[in-house]
Amino acid sequence: MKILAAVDIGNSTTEVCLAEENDAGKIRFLSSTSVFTTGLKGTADNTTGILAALEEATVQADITLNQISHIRINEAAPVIGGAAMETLTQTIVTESSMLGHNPKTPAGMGTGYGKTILIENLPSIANQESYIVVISSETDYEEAAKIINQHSNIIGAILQLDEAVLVYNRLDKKIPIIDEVRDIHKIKEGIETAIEAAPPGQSVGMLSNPYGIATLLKLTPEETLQITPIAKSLIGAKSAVVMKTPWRNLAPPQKIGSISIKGDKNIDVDFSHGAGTIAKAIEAAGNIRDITGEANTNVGNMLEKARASMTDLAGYGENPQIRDLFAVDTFAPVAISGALAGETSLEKAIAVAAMVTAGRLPMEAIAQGLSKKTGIYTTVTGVEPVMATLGALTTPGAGFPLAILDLGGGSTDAAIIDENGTVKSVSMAGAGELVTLMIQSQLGLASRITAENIKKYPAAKVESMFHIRLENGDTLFYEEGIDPRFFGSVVVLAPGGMIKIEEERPIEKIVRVRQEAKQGVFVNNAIRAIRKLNIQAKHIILVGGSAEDFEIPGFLSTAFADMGMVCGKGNIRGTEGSRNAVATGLIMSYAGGV
Amino acid sequence: MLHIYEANASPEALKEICAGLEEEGILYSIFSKTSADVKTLAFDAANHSKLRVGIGIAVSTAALQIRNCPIDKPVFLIDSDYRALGTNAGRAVKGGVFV
Repeated sequence: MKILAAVDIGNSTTEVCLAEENDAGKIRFLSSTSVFTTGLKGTADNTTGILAALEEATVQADITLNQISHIRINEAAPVIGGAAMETLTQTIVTESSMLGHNPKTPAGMGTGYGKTILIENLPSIANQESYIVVISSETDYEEAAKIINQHSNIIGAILQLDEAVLVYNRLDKKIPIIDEVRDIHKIKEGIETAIEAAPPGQSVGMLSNPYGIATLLKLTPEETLQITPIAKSLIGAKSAVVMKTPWRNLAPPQKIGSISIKGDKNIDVDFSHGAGTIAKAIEAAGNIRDITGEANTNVGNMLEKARASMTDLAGYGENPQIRDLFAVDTFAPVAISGALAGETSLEKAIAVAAMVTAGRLPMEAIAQGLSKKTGIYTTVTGVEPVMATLGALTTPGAGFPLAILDLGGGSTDAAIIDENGTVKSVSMAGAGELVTLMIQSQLGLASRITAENIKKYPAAKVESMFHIRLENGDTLFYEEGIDPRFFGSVVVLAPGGMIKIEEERPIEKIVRVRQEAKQGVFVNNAIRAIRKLNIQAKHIILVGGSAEDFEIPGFLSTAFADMGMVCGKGNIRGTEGSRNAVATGLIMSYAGGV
Repeated sequence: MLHIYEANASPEALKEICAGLEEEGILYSIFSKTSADVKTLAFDAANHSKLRVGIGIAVSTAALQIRNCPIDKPVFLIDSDYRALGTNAGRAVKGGVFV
């Protein structure tokens, strides 16, 4: 009797399984474990993680390490993916000429037109001028209301503090008031200005319409053309101010640029045509040797960013060649330069994932190190996609021709095995990291970790001190009470407890952005990968980290069912879920004499 | 109606708390009590308030309480920045994020 150990080192986890082979050559699996990979995949640092996983597995199997007679380490696919994003449009507003936001407690409604004036400079003698009064934090709400009541020619007010309701409640004649304007000192006096506060439940209609602004500020057709970006960025705001400063418009749009694909066919494609056209060009190019972006353009910069991130990660050579590219049309809220209350504007953006293949990873060195440490005979063996398909075949109900999809962080890998044991595999750019990038940019999140959490866990809204409402409408009660710092917030439900999303975004939007990013990247890329295999699969088994996701397997099952294929999360050996496919395959291949 | 139970409340603290509530659009009534324990004041106020949220003020200490929370653990217990306590009481009623 012999005890075998199989080790699969992945980007994020190291998986191990133990099996015994009896004298008749029959294999019986003993245990399996998964630990976080220590260090970068393919480096000597991995040994610590491998040893920890082996230790755990031997304890589970109730044996000791020195009973293991053979360790088989997987020859990892040297594929590295990177992702980057660039915004393609930009809104610049000169001279602090606009303001539009959603204060928590706005007051008043309607539109008005007048000249700006600081509250301390209001003339004591009434005149014919209409004023929009600017009130900094120096003046409190009682004082401000008293002064406004003495001046019947004030038609609107802009406040620095959150006191719109307090002022409004003390006014004899009601006017629109906009508050929470941080950079109020940037507002100049004597400027012709339009103000609008929307009725409850609506957003501004006059100032989000170029002709509305033109009407209030008496603009020429030429000026109306220049005001358009301001009107666009005010769509959806509950209150807004537009000032008639000389709008020195606008930086000419940056050139988006094109890429050159070198493959079976060489194709140049302009990025401004969008993700769909790019995907067609990539497919038409066949086997790709390299992709380069036009220098000093958005695309050129973006590909350089992606390439740099992969070079850092890999440490091979200085200029790895890009073998695949996957682009997604997206958008990003970008801070408007010249805005007064931190306003953002939704700009068109494009995100790309790129993939390089490196030389053979130095797995032999790891094997030798492990052998030296443990005294156990260790070999590097088995090509990753072959091992993964062999492992996936142990899923109950699986049959030929069987394809696997390994949805990773940097790349989406697919392989197919037929009745004769012939395996074909492909790796495609675009996976989890691209999804994280899209979530982060579309929701305007400061931290990548927040985006990562939104990607991984379902969201909920804390509705009281004792209950939360989950994104699917269910309620969950907490006997002990919920920490007040979560109150009213959107949280995600991580295994360790709630994590608060610091940025205030509606839960519906968080869910929509998350689902669209996953659909856009994983579903499109999975279909692309299966198509590229060019063999009709009947069964598609999901393995690897993303298969454990709470909604991705559902999206993929639906998409492939519509195409007449069975697709679902694997259940390796009927017990392991989607984990441990490669390690299991390593044992299977030993038994099969491969 | 949100209940504020006060005992010898500092006029400045009371005024700022009311301003916070008013800005959030919450109606309130003030009741004078004799108990000097701010936690008890807040707890009783929350239990009698139809909005399930109550405020207690004893001299210059103020507490925000939500019904069913334990008496010895008010949601907030402060002796400065009274406006924020009023705002948070409003947010507690409306389900908004605390400041």
